[in-house]
Amino acid sequence: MNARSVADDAPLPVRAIGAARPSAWLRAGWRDFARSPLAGLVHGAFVAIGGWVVVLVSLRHGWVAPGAFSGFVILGPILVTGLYEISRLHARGQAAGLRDAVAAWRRGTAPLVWLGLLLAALGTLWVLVSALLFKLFAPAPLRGPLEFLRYALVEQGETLFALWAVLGGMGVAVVFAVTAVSPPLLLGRRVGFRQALLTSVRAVGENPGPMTLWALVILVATSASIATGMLGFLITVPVLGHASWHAYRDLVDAESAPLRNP
Amino acid sequence: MEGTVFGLTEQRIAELGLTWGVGGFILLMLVIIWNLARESKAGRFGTFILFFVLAFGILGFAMKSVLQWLMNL
Repeated sequence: MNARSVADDAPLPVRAIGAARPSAWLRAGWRDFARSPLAGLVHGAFVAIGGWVVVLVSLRHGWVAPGAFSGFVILGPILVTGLYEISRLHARGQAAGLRDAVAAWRRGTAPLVWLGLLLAALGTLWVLVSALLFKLFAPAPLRGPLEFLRYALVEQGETLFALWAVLGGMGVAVVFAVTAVSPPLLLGRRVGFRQALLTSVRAVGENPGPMTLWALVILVATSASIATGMLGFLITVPVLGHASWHAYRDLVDAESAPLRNP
Repeated sequence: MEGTVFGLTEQRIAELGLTWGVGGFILLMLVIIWNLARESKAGRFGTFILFFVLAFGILGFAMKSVLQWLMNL
């Protein structure tokens, strides 16, 4: 047993960054998108279509709506794996396109699949908790999405909203923390699943201010994309996806971990 | 009595769910957060959670207000 496998689970070293870094990530993300627009648009279209599927399911089963969106958003980091690969190739001075993104998907490293399953499980849990909260509070069963919306926005008191915000806020914060930099790390380096998640939490815990800002950028961009009837995802998914890769490069000192594809 | 389950009224079940169920869930989340902070050696992970929950609440409240305004138009 060598020294590396003893410390296998220990998080990788991370860097402290300045508060303005998220805007630099966005600019770099935009540049990557502009260099390989087709791949970016295809990824955005996948997410937009997924968004519509969530809406259609919610229309049939209204009470699923509050959590369904959040659950879908949680899968974001996995969906954009192909974009990380393109950013990685760009950074090495190589041209990259849709073919490289598809290749990254097909290579589909096992830990990334595990991360996807974990996120899907958390998304489902969140849907159930949201549904339970509304079932507990709603005076009568809510039928249909319009009745639900009216209740959630107009009739319910501030207590439910505050509870939902605290519970949901903590849940989303944890999910954001474990996924902020773990997918690109798992894609690029031979690291364990646990190690990648803990490295991500460490990077976030080392930079609470800038990372709260980054999380807010993602939340606002996602909400705005939904508000445009999912069309906004065509732009926000590629830009945020590429930007996440630059965030990973900024935050994690991955030199000590071996490359996955040297 | 109308609509009782195990001798509990619906209102009482909602109260129990609210206090014990939601309280327990918040406690579970706090344990998960504490454990993650300890294992990842992240010094200020708690600060991030605090920042994030506050920002999430404010953002949610703003969105709720905008949607309320839109629905009353």
